[in-house]
Amino acid sequence: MPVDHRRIQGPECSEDYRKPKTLDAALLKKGSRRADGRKCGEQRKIFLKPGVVSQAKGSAYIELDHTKVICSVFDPREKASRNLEQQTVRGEIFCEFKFASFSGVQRRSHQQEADDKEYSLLLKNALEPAVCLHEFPNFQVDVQVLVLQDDGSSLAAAITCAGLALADAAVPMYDLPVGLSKAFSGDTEFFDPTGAEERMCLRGVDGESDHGVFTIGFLPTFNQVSQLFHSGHISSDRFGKMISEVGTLAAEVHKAVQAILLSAVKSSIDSSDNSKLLL
Amino acid sequence: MSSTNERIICVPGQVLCASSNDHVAGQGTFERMGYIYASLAGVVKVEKKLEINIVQVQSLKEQSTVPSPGDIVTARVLIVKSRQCMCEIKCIGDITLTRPFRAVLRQEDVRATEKDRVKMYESFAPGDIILARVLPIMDVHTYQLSTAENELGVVISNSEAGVPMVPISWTEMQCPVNFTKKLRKVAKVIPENIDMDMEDNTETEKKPNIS
Repeated sequence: MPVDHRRIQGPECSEDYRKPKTLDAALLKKGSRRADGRKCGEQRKIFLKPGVVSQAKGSAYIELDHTKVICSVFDPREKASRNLEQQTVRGEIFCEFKFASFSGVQRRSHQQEADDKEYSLLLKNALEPAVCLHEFPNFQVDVQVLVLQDDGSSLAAAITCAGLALADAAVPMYDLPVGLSKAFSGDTEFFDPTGAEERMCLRGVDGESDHGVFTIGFLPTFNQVSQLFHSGHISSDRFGKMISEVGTLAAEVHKAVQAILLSAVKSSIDSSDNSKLLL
Repeated sequence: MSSTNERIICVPGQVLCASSNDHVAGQGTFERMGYIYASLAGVVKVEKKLEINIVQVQSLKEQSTVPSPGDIVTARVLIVKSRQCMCEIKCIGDITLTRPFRAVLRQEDVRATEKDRVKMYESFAPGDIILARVLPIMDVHTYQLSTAENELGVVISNSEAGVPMVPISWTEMQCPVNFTKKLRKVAKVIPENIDMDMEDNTETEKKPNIS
């Protein structure tokens, strides 16, 4: 696609630079309930399914209400880059994150845009500590994520989905990574925000300094944060409080991923005629 | 191996047991802070070897194999140059790979004796299938192979007529159609159903004539 480098490509419509005085009333109804009826600390119902893409070695599909993400993991192949300084003892994960053109309200380019590239890097950072990279030296594992519909928390959903896909592809891992996201504005916090909540919190509210969206990649077994991405403004003690809560918030998602994986293994054992496993 | 239907299924990151002198982390597991964890999603298998229990996890999908030093691989020769030849690894042991890996076979690794007097074009030809051993990884990009053993070398080679040639010595192969002889570094492939007496005969055969 030919890109015009001589002109500054501004946005198509303009937004008011002033922050709203209060949070949008549509987001909070009946005082403490959110627009879709959830409580502020409640996660959306998760639908997870591994093994959906037949051409890939491992794959997974996740649905968080209206956020739909599909991930494929391929066999290790020789490292693409020929950089002599690169470590040879470790393998590599090559992540490709892409919002589908039809995923949002506005049509997106079919090629990777700036935020796709940024999310690719964030996803890689989130997954790398979880994978046993020493098991495939000098090779790279391709992880391709496609967001089919974006209604908030797409990066968090992608991290969870990619973790399940890697496990489905029999890539040795230390732990199942789990993605979480939280949007907050002032004192109001939304766990697992929808698109509208995200946009509202990214803008913030006039008078309240703390606002933004947090995305965390978490390894539950070892209680480690693999990746943290925050857009907005936060005070340091609030930040500390956020981090300490991550463990409890991740437990629910982790349990779901584990249960799905266990039942998938069980059903393939029951359906296959593989006598080696029965010994 | 127990024959009960009780199977322990695990997921990555799940604790399997505490590691001790009796219980050792095997394939598909890793040890951390005194415990053995699973690194794959699959069935837990405990193998008893000499009083030590090796805890393994067997996944349903075959783990992607990667050539590691010491493996015997089946490769196809692509390009033959004067000092080395470029190959493509097709199989590792019994496992056929979905993606071929590139490898290099250097002049000094073709034979065990008289390494510098080897002529590459008298040892291999493009299109040959060879058995080789993977050497320890030194180079960043490609694998290094070695055929410096009697059992390694050219296994299948097609003549100009398109017919597989028959080996007649350690250094020559002959086409059954037009009887032309070609020079190759032939592998000593021992058939599985051979008699023990016959095997003794092949052992006493002369080593490749280097003239």
